[in-house]
This record gives sequence, C-alpha cells and structure tokens, in this order.
Amino acid sequence: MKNSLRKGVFLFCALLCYGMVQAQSVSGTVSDANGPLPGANVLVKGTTNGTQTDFDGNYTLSGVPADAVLVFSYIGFKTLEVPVGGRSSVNVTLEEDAQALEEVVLVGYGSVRKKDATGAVASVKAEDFNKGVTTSADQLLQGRVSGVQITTSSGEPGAAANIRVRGTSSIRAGNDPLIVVDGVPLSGGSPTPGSGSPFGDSSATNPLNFINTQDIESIDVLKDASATAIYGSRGANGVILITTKSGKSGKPQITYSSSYSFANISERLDVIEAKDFGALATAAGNPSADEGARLDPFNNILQTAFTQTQDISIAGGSDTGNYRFSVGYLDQEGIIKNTGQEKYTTNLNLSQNAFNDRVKFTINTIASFVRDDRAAIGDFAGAEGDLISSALKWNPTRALRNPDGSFVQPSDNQRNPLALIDLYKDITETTRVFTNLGARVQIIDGLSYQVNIAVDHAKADRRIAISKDLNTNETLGRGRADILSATNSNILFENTLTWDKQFGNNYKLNLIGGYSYQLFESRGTFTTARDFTISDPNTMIKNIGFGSTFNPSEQGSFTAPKSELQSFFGRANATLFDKYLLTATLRVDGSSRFGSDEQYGYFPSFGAAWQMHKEEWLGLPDYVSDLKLRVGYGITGNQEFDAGNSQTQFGPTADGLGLQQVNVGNDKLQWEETEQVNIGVDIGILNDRFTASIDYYYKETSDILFRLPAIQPAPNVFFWQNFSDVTVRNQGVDISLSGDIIDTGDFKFSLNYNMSFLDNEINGISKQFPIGIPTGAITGQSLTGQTGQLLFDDTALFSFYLPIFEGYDSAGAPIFRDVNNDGIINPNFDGPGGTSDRAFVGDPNPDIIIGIQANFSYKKWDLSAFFNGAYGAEIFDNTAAQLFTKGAIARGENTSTTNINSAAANNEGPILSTKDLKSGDFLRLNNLTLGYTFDSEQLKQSWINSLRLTVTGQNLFVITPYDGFDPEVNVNKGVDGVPSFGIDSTAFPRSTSVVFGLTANF
Amino acid sequence: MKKYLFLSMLVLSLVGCTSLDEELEGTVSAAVAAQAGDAADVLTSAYQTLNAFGTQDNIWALAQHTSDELAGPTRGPDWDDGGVWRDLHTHNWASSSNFVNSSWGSMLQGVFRSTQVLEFSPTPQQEAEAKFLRAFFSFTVLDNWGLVLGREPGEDLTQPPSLFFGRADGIDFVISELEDALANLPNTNAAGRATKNAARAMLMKAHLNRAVYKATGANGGAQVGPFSFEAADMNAVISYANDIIASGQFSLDPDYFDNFRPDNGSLSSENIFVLNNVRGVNSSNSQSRWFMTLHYNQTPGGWNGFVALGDLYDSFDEGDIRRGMPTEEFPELDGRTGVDVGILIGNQFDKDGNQIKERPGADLVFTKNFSLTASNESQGLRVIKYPMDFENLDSPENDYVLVRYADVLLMKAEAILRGGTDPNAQTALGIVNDLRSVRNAPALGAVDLTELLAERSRELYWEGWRRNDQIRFSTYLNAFQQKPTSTETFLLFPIPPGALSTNPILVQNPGY
Repeated sequence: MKNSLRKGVFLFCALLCYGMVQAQSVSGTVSDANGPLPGANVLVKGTTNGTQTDFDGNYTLSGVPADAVLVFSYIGFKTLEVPVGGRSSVNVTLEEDAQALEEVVLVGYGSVRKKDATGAVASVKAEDFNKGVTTSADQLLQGRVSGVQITTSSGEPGAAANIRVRGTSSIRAGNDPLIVVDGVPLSGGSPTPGSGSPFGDSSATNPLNFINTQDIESIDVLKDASATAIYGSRGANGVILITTKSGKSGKPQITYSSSYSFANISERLDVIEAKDFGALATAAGNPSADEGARLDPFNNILQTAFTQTQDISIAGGSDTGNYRFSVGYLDQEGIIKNTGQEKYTTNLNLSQNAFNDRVKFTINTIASFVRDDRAAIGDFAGAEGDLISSALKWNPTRALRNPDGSFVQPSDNQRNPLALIDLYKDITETTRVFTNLGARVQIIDGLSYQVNIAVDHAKADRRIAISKDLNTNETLGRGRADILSATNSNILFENTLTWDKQFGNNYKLNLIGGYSYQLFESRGTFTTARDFTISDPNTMIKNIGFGSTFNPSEQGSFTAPKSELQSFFGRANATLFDKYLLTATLRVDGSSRFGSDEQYGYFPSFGAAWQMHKEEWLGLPDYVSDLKLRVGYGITGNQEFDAGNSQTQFGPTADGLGLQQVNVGNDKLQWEETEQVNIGVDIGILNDRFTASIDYYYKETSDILFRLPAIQPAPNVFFWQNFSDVTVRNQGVDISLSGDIIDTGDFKFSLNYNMSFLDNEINGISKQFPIGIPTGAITGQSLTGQTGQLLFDDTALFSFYLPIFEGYDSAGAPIFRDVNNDGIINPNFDGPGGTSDRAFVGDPNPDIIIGIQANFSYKKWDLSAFFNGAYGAEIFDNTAAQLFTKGAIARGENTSTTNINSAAANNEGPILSTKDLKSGDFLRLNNLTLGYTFDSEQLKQSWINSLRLTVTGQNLFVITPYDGFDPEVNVNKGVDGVPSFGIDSTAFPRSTSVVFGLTANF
Repeated sequence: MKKYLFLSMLVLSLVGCTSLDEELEGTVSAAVAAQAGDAADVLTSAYQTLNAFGTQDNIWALAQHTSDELAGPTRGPDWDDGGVWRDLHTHNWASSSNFVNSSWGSMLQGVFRSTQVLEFSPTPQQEAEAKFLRAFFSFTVLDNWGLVLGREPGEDLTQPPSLFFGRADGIDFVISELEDALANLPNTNAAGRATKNAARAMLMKAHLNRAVYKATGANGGAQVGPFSFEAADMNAVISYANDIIASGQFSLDPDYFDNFRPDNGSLSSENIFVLNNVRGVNSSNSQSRWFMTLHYNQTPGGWNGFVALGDLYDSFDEGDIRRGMPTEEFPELDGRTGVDVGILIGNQFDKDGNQIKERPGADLVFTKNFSLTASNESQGLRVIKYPMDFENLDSPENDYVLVRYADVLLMKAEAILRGGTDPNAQTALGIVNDLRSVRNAPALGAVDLTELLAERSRELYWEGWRRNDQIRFSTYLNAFQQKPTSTETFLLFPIPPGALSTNPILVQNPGY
C-alpha cells in the first residue's frame, strides 16, 4: 500500500512535469458555412479545460498537450473532434446537424420528430407567433394552426378567449382544450372572480395571462384523439402544450426588448350625431329632445391607449446545464378610460446534470402579478344598461356635466356614461406562482426515469366600489363596495419511465409508462358593504369600513371539494424498417369527481403512419421529399364539471339561517366520451421547400355531461347526469400549406396558408327536451326572458332560432314570415313544430377559418403580414337589437342612423328577429411588421450582438359586412349554465394599434 | 437491467394509488347533515322557498296577469318581452312559457324542502309546520296544474315521486294534511311562521274551492262551472273562520295600508301568514311591488310596467281608503316622493309638487284606458299597495302578505252565500258592510255572489288570489279589459315539457 502510494505520487509529479514541458497554447477560428461562429464550445477531450469562441469565432486555449484532442461543439451542429497534433493553430468549420435541426413536436410526456408523428399535431415556434402587443399565449397562436379557432371575447385588455380545437364537442361541460405548461396540465377556467358587479357578471379574464408571451418558446397543438388520448379524460377538446424558453449552452445571452404602442378604437358604431339629433327626434315624434348641448357621448369614454412593455432575459449554459431568467413588465391601457392591465412576470428555467450526467435536474418557475382595471361593463347588464349601452344611448344634445361640474343624472334608466367611469372602480389583482421541479435519471442506456413535482398556485382579489353619487336605484345615496377573493391551486406529482431500444437495423421501440396524481383546490370569499359615509370610490375600495351595512346574505365563502385525478398511462412507439410508424396509447384516469360507481375511465388510442417517399417501388419522383400517410383513432374524455356534483350535498341558505340540500347525488356521474378518427397526409416537395398537410377528422361525443331537470319534487331544478340520448358530431378538414417561394439571394419570400372546414351537429335532444334547450339570452329593455339560440336535433350547436324579419308594413310594424304556414303570425317562442313562427336561421360556428402568413426579407429588412378570417358564421347583434330602435329616439335616447332611416314606426321597440342577425364573415389584417436588424459590425460596437427595430400594426383593417364593433366577439349569454356562442352585446370595443419595438442582444 | 426495472417498479408502487373518495369541503354530506343537522334549520330553508311568491313574475304573474285586476301592456319600445305578459293576460300561453315552467319548479321545490324536514327528527310542532308548508305548496300546485306530487321522506330523488294525486283526490289530501298540521301548530309563532290560524285560513281556502277541483270539464280537465258547493264544506269554512275570530288575535285595521307598510310586521292587525322580510336577512323581493309599476321618472324610478284595469278603479266608491291615500299620510314617504299609495290615477307629481314629465316630454298622466300592444308611457293606472321602504329600497322590510284576516271574513261571507250556516248568526251582508265601514266605504244594501267577488277585488287587489277567486266564481274565462273570452284549457296551466319527459306518470293537461 505504502509502496503504491509512493509510486502514485511519483507518477503524478512526472506527468505534471511532462505536461509543463509539453503543454502549449492553441488558438483558431470556429466557423460554419456562413462564417465565424461566436459562442461555440472548445474543450480538451477528457479534461475540464475548455473555452468559448468570441464574437469573431476566435478562441485561445492554453495548456493543451500536443497529443490532445479538441472537441468543438455548438448546438444544432455536429460535434467535431480534432487531434491537435502539435499545431498551435486549429481552424474548424462545423457542419449543421440536420437531425438536430429537424422540427420536433411535443406529444405529451415526450416529443417526436415532426416527420415521425402519427397523429394530427402542429407546432408553432416563437418566430412564427403573432407580432405586436400580446398579453396571453392564445393571442400568439390565433389563426396559425388549422383546426384551431380562437375568438377573443372582446377588446378588453386581458380578455378571455374562446379556444376551440376542431369544433365544439360538448354542450355544458367545458369546451376549452387542456392547456399544459412546461409539462403541467392546468386546471380549466379563470382564477379571477367574475361576479360582484351590479352591471352584470363581468367577462372572465384570460387564465393564460400569467405567462409572459415573450417567454414562450413554442406552442404545440395536439388535435386528434390518437395524440390527445394520452391525456385521457381531459383530452377530448384537444391539448395545447406551452413551452417556455430555456438557456442554451454557450456564453450568456442577454436580451432586452421594449415596445411602445398607441391604440385607438378600430370601429365606431354609427349613432346619430348631436347636430342632427333634434330634427330627427322631432320627426320621430319627440319635439323636445334637443337639449342644446353638442357632444359625442361615446367619445367621452374613450382614450388613446398607451402601452409599453419591457423585457430582459439572461440565458446561457454549459455542457452540464443551462439557465434562463427573465423579467417582464407590461403596462397596457384599454381604449376605454380607467381600464388596463399591468403585469409583472418572471420566468426562471434551470437545468443541471449531476452524477456523471446520469441525473438531470430541471426547474421551471413562473411568478406573475397582474392587475386588471376594469370598467362597468357586464355580460348581463339589465334593461338600465352598462357603460357601453349608456354611452351609446345617451342623448348627444344633453350635457354630461352641470355648470357646477356635477354629473347630469336624470334617472336610473339614463345612466351618465362619464359618471359610470368616474364613480366606479374595479381592480383585480392576481398573483400566481408556478413551479415544476423535475429529475431525470438515466438508469441504464435507453432506460430513464423521470419524476416531476409541480405546484401552481393563484390568488386573486377583486375589489369593486360604486360611489353613492352614482344614480342607480341600488347605489344612489348609499354606495356599494365588494371584495371578492379566489384561491386556486394545482399540485402535480408525476413519474414516468421511458425505454428506447433498437432491435437490429429495422426495429425501433420507444415505451413510456407513467403514473400521475394531480390535486386541484379552489376556494374564495365574498363580502358586500353598503351605505357609505364617503363618496370617493378610490377610498371606498381601500376601506370598506366606511360602509355601514353588511347584510348576512351578502357575506360568505366557499370551498370546493378537492378534486383529485389519479392516472396510469402508457405509450408504445414502434418504427419498422424506418418507414412504418405505429403508436398505441392507453390512459386510465380515476377522478374523485366521478360518481362512486364510475371512478375509472379507460382511454385507448392507435395511430399509424407510412412514410411512402421511402418506398422505392412506388417510384415517386425525386422532388417528392416527403409523403406520409397517417391514420389514427382514439377515445378521449371531458370531465369539466364542478367537483362535488356526484354527491348529495347540504349547504346553508344565503342568509346562513337555514340548512338545505343543494344537490342530488349521482353515483353514476362520469366523464363524457369522444371518439375520433383522423386520416391525414403530409407532403414535402423539393427538400421540403414546399409542404402540405391535409387531415380529415370525424368525432362524435356521447354521454354528454348535462344538468337535466330533476324529477320534481326535488331540492333544485337540475342535477348533473350523463345525457345518454345526445351525441355531438364534428367533422372537418384541416389544411396547411407552406412554401419558401423565393429563398435564394438577398430577397426571400415565404408563404404559409392554413384553412379549416368545419361541420357540427347535435342529435337526440328532443327525447329529454321536447322543445329543445333554449340558450343565448337576448337582453335589454322589452327583451326580458328572450333567448335567440336553441339546441335541437340535427342542428349545429348554438343555432339561432328566430322569427324571420321581412321588413316593415305600411304602418311601420315589423313583418315576420309565417314559417309554419298556419296563417297566424306568432313570433313568440315555442319549440320547433309548435305554434310559433321561428326557424333555424344560421349558426355562429364558421364553416371555414383561414390564416395567411407572408414573410418577405431583403438583406436586413424583413416584412411579415398575417391575415386571419372566418366565413359562414352568423352573429346576433344584441347591442343593436336592444338600443337601436325608433322608439329610443322618441324617448330621447340615441339610436343608429340606419335605424332612423328605416321604415319602422316611431314607437318601434326592440324585437327579436333576424333583423339583427348578421354575417360574421371577416378577413383581418391581424398584424403587419416591418423590421430591420443591425449586427454588431454595423453598430461598430462589440458589446452588442444585434439590434432589431420593428414597427407593427395590429388589427389594421377588417373586411366584414358586420356593422357592430367587431365580428370576432363572444359575450357570455348562457342560460341556466348552458353556454352561448356568437352573441355581441355591449362588448368592450376592439382597437387598432401601432407598436414600436426594439430588441437588443448582448 | 432487471434490477433497475425492479427498482423503478418499486418507486412507482411507492407513489401509487390514492383513494379517490371525494370529501366535501364547503358543503356537508347527507350523512353529516343527518347527524348534525337540526330540523329547525331545515325548516328555515323550507320557509325561504316561499319567497318564490314575492317576485313580479312567476307564480304571482300567473295569478294576477291572467285576471281582471292587472295587465302588462307593451309601451312602444318597452315591455314587449316576446309577448309573455300579453300571452298571460289574453290567455294564450303555451307549454313553453318560462313563467309556467319556473313556477312549477319553485313550488315543487317547496314541497320537497318541507318534506325533507321530516327526515330530521322534528319536534311535533316542527313537523306540523313542515306539513303546513307542504300543504300550502301542494295547494298552489293543485290550483295551477291540477295535481299533487309528493315524496316520502328520504326517497330516491332520481326516481319519480311516490305520491301522485289528480284534482279530486288532491284536494282531499291537502285538507287531511292541513287538519293533521293544525293539531300541533302553535297559537302564536315567530314572524313569518305558521300558526293554527294560518292552517285554519288555508283550510278555509281548501274547503271553499273543493267543489272546483271535484268538477271535471268536457275535455277531462278543469271545468268553468258553475260548481256544486257542498254545505259541509261551506260549514267547515264558517267554522274555521269562527275559530280564527274567536282566537282574538286579529281585527280589521282602520289603517288599511298598515298591512303593507315597511313596518307592517308590527303595525298590522290583520296579517295571518306573511313572508317576513328583515333587511339583509330574508328578502322576498317586496321591492318588485313598486318597481314593477312606477314610471321611470317617478321616485323611486321604476320600470313603468304593470297597470290596474280601469274597471277595478271604477268599482270603488268615492272615499274608500283602499282606492288610494295621499303621500302625506305616510311619514316614511312624505318629503321623499310625490307618489301616492293605492291606485295611482291622473297627473303625477314629484315630492315638491312639480308635474312629472314622460321621457318624450309630455306630462305624466296615468289613465284608465291602455292598449295591451300599443300603450304610451303614461297609459294605465299604477298601484302602490306596498308603501316604499326608502331606507332599504332594494331589500325592504315590508313583510309580504300571503293570507290576511279580511280575506278570512270575506271567505266566511262567501260560504254563507253559498249555503253555509253560521252558528254565530252573522250574515254575508253584515260581514261585508262591517268591512266596508272600516274602509270608509258606504254600506251595501244587499250582497250577492257578484257583489262579493267585486268586494274581494276591492279588498284583495294585486295580492295574488285573483285567479283562484275568478275561477271559483266562473268569471276567469270571460272577456274583460284587453282580453277576449278564452276556453276551458286555460283553467289549468300546462305541465312543463321537461317534467313530462323526466316523470312518466305525468300526463299533459288537456288542450296543450
């Protein structure tokens, strides 16, 4: 022992001396086909002696033994090993690694090369996202992927979007796709409280607001069941996988980007101007309408909205780990005064290898704080109206303020829009922390184990104050303030085993098996205070102690049952002869929400693809670089109903004095089930310079989750059941085409086009609901209790069911078509085949949606334009139906110029008919960006890598026959919880904006 | 390799398998409720289902809009609402009517909630109160839809109910339930709670109408009449009335509107069964009683909706305090509004005596004539039966009156006219004239059934009983202001389509 130690010391010394004698300095340049490559790694093989190339691709390494081997590596390039051979200068050129650069798509619990995917999946990378000011991930994706329809509910900053992947497959349970952020499935719905305003429930805020859009690397969409079945009972509406940016090995990359934008309302409604109002009112029978003032009431609630964003990120890494940290700030004003969103976000992604690279730890963390300032705009504003309707109907000859500066407030029925701005305050603050800690252990070659523990916690507070100076019956002389809070959390514990194995040259197998446990919790509180001693809403909102009345029925809290989801899943991918690809998945989902008889659901899928271009015998011409046929089938589920619905529950009465049964338990309550078949083909021409993907799908949903009428006598009117008689069918074709039309020289031009055809139908409603299920509340004075949509057999979901308007008779009364030919005109509601003259006259689901992206670049200039559009959808304009009547001007309220010129009688009132059913066809120039990129040479500064300046126009124009604010609109007008779609009702108007942007890389 | 696989399996099995039994958080399970729940709390919840009677739509609209006391005219651009009000007044509703469907749900919810009290080991009094409530709801269901539906305590709610009676058997069931309840109900009870006298008053209603439910029309549904009222029923009505009188708890209130004012809980000497409204605690929507009728520019600004028929106004003698009283008589209103109490007619003024204008600029003048389809802003008489609670305009303290002593006396008079004998030897004319005298109306020389029905309207207008009265007096299908004659079909409301499809034992009422 002693001996060997001595030998060892001697040997070490000898080596050291040898090294000191022999070691030398090596320098050189690393380049790729285009020139020097900064940030490339250079390492002496078998040692930790290494460096990175500088901006000019140069490196210098000292202490390199003469017989050493240098390892040159850079992400996206093939690693090169070069023996030094005593040289002092080693220059290399790295080759791009085609394999590494090949597009990869996420498929849930793993990824595949796009070329090897068997399902209908799409991936959108950061460079293809929508440009301009974006506040949530859906805005990046809108129009980019065929089969995905994204409808923002309004122009409000932070407004929620309706995301539909391949149509609407459910009636009552949620229709939004499952969103997975960095591997963590989110709970559905918005974490912010939506109620609390006396102007009707506010539209939900966007649940994806918490992610800074600048931090998103890619968004992948799983469309067909063979891809989504791995998410089992949550896969039926498609799956959207959001991946945040991470660092790359190399020297630190610091990126700063900043933007400033100005937005104005994109479309005004055509209401009568002040100068014409008096004469037109007189002609309509109200000679005393002109009160002398001349103003534009709607303009008084608008502003030019200024928005700025500031983002900074630092990213980098080494062979054993990488990091990226970013901080973002957004301050967006809405085009309505006192509205906007302020957002602070941080994102930290770390990865670190350990134990000789056998274990890789990853951390993803997002922390965000969002403040929403909202206006008095409600989905169900009631006959008296909200801010939008009050501003539209305000007599333009009536001053908004008295000479003493106080507001003119004639009655609850004629609310002063400026007072609604000044005397109303509505702030929602949401803090959300999302973390995902993962460890991947390489057990043996080809077999690895991954564990993830994730927590997503959101806490939101909404505070609303209405001054006692505001003249509404509820608030005048009293004042009201509400505080609502909501806490939502989501905890994930997930384990997967992955095994990759190649058997000979022709058989490859990839197996994934996993177990996951996810827990969702939700709770909240609410309190209302009335009768304030002070009138300033800014103070009321800070201290509701100024209020003196706290009614027991207006205080409370709620806690939903914990919702647990326990799942076992597996996937097998087999590749045979490098051209036949087979995928099979199975997920077993157990949910605590399901009835005790039905706790586990089984969701299998199969997919196969055939890479035909690899078949010699087909004799395809050489220019066909890709031809792949895909087929897939799977069963997926949807379980979006509130926890607790399978159980009999007792709760308190509103005032807390009584105890009552609030739900009828149902042991058989379970998921709803969607079967989907997909057939697709992928084509690539000229080395994929031109590509095309075409998919046909058919999906059918059964066991629809619905609240059926309880059999009376019963504690409540409805209870949740799986509605076995009903099926919802969606079928369609998704097409995407792309081509690098010109890709040589200084000028480049590429075009992407996607198009989706969609057909939707619901069947079997009438067995339980003989007159159908009415939804789509049409609201306003004289429209109480009216509905415009009916779910009925063999119709598209949310079909409009209305009397058919055929003009006015000589007396100015509306003429309706005698639909049932019984000689009696009865426009009032009755089921199809009944006494009423109503008909299915269209539906809000577009038949075709398209997206067109064109990119041009010339040297350092680039220009991109993106159009999106939809055809074949109808919209019901509830705003016009309730406000724009001749009777309105007769009582001194404003109306539209179209209406005043119509043949309607002077006392015309709101009617529910096809008069206000309008085409929602549109083509929008969604964004247009002109950019110029400076490199460091141009800037003559070595500390800056590149500088990019951009000007972006967002929503520059919309070509549409629709005369409301915007044809892309969806205000929630559900009835008894049955959602509606495609109704415009005093929605927050849209804007057109110009954004000046700067991005610098250091 | 095997070792590693084994290891991984071990890890998986360690983390695996949680029990998925759901635990409730913000609510409690049936088992917990059964153990910890108190019958008193369940009873409170049952009482609160009575609030369904207090809104301006639903069950009250079915009782009043269809009668000769009230209508909801369309006013140019206002109040069309797809013809729902018009359809009620002209007897033209269909099974798709929202009001019919939601009333069905809320009344049967009441039946359920009162039955559920019996699952919670109630005291004899609580059981009696629950049975009274169930009978009250069942009577309403019987009166409107011609059937009684009920469940035994603890029934499987996913199955059709076990109790089902048609009209003829239904009324006997209601009577036996009320008799059962009467024994253990207290003489006096907390505000808004059932008493012996409340049960007696409902027994009077049941016996008085029994002949109506025993009669079957040509189409197998209800019959327009005339009905054969049995002497035994009429004597029962008189006997219960005498019990109520003899209890000494009630007297006719010289201030008629004390029965409806914000503090009617303490002021009224007539209210037998009410919805007790306490600011911030229970609210049965009494505010709808003023908002539904007042013009936008009055104080408080109303919805400019429902009107009284002109014949109702004309039916009163000059000086009858029930027809109207000036604002100044009501300290809670004086100085805050110019709105009078009772039936509002003619020019309307604000609190300072200035003429109120319509929105198009003309003077606001309420008139007897109106058109159901094309009224202007002013047309139609308005009714303020419940003086406004300005302290709590949105959640007022006016108790909402369901049954009143004056009604008891008029029912007794009616029973005498219909062949009953009063052991106390009161006459119908005597009873009616005693009432009229307190109301400052001249005595009548004679009273027949027609006059009695008119007196009931003068006394009880807009209180939710008019449909029931008119059917019993066979005038419901007649033509009256803005309404043509209608057919026997409309004596009953249609059973909601959703109820028919979930409960196979139900059969749609004839004509729908």
